[in-house]
Amino acid sequence: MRSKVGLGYRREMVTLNEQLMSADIDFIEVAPENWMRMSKAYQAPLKELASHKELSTHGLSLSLGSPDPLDIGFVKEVKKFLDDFNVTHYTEHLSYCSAKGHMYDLMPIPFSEDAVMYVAERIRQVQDILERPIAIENVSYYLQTGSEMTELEFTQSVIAESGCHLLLDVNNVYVNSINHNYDAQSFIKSMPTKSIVYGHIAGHYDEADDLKVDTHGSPVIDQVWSLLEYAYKCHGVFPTLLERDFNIPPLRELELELAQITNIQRRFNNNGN
Amino acid sequence: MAIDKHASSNSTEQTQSDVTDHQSLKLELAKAIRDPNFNHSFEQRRIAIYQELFFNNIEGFCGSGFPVLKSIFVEETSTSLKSMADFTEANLWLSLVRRFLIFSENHSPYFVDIAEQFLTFLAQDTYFQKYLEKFLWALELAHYEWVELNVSLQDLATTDLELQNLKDFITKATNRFKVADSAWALAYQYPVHTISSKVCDVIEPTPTFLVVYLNEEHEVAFIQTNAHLIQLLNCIETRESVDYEYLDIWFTKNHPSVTKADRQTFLNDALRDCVTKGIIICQA
Repeated sequence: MRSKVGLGYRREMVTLNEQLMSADIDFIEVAPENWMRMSKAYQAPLKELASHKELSTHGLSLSLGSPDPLDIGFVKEVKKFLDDFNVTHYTEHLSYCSAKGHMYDLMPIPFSEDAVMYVAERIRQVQDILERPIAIENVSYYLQTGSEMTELEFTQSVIAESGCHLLLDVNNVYVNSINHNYDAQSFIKSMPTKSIVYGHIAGHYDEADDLKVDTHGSPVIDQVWSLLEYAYKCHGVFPTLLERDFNIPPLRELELELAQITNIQRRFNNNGN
Repeated sequence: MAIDKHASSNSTEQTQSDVTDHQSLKLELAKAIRDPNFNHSFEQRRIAIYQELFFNNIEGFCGSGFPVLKSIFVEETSTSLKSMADFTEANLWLSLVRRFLIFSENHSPYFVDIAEQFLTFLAQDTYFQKYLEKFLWALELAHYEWVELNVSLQDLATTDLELQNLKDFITKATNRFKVADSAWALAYQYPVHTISSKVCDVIEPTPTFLVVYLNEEHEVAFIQTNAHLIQLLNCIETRESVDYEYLDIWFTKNHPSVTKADRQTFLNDALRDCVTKGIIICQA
């Protein structure tokens, strides 16, 4: 039931629509900001694909943790998009991308009790407008700006306080565990099982031995595959989506990675896990 | 990705004092990312990663929105501009993108709006004004490139083919004309459509009238035209939609010395040509 594989869909992939429709892919995911408010001609490939595959969304600009006011007008436009495209999930990053204006990339929220309360209230506000729960993603970060609590405590508290769901990004857990020197498995294990709607898996860039950058520009590495397996062991199998945003290879290469997700999921299902 | 080699090799992270409230920390981090000269309290090696990620991201959107402007301004360095140059980055282009990142309060959550916000910023930036004395055509070129981007994102609306086949469809009293959303009528002081890094030193002011539009293949196309056609398109655009009789009266009022035959030839040819190209939509 929970064995689904997904692929992040990008504008560069519109020429692959025919292949994607017949591929072993259960769902696709888009950044809604890149498709909303666009012309019908621009949206047509997504409309076509979404009539064959389940569609999820992974937002970039909501800026949940931002000191700037929540953009209510934008949230309402998101709602319209979710309805128009029959979207199953709206997910966003547990981060902020604006402070006195948009900066179009993700910054880490300080890990503090006040910040938990602040972001949880904004998540509840978004959920009220959208009339459905959203899922937040644990983001990769390269700098910790608050040390009142750990990333784990921060993430758990936000989920508990806001009642939102979790999009568990396994690659981000790996990257952060290296960059901030913590145990990836215990982080995965401590995530609330019932909150997980699906997972992300991706490749990253090695800046240095102790510094990894989450670029989504290369294949998934073995350690991250192992961590995904461990996550299934802890929480049972959950739908898992491959993200590839740069250096996009031929589809058959991505299909190999998708098949690997399927294989790991089957192994757990066959073992009765 | 280059990081600051002079930064401490100690990987232990600096964290802020817990008494600093979360909103101040968020603002400080944002400022440190926007402006490399901002004095911050974070570990430099880690801030450098964010600075590079954010700058490259914004630069990518600006560069793809304004490819010609970029190709010219990346060549403008301290060597070429001599005493005029007071860059924070390697060239004029990168310095403008840096200023955009530091000073522009961008309110659109849509990535596609970054180009328009960059254009608005350039038009208002006092620092850029002094360079405009040398590159007089730069704002018009930037506007033209932005129009091309905007047109590329529009839907293509066309006139019913059967209507086009009617012999007298242009002059039919019940037909109404409107300018397509995918067409822009433009009047510039410089020949923006001819500017490139090869010829940017010899651009002379020349009244330039262009229409940028989506053609049948949904590609961005342009025609170079005259002031009369631009005025006609502006007249239709500002009134949303008009009929032939209205245009006939409007033209007579604006050009009283033109003969009836010349006037009708102009109107009929202009409307027929624009409808065929998809610049004007004709509705029965």
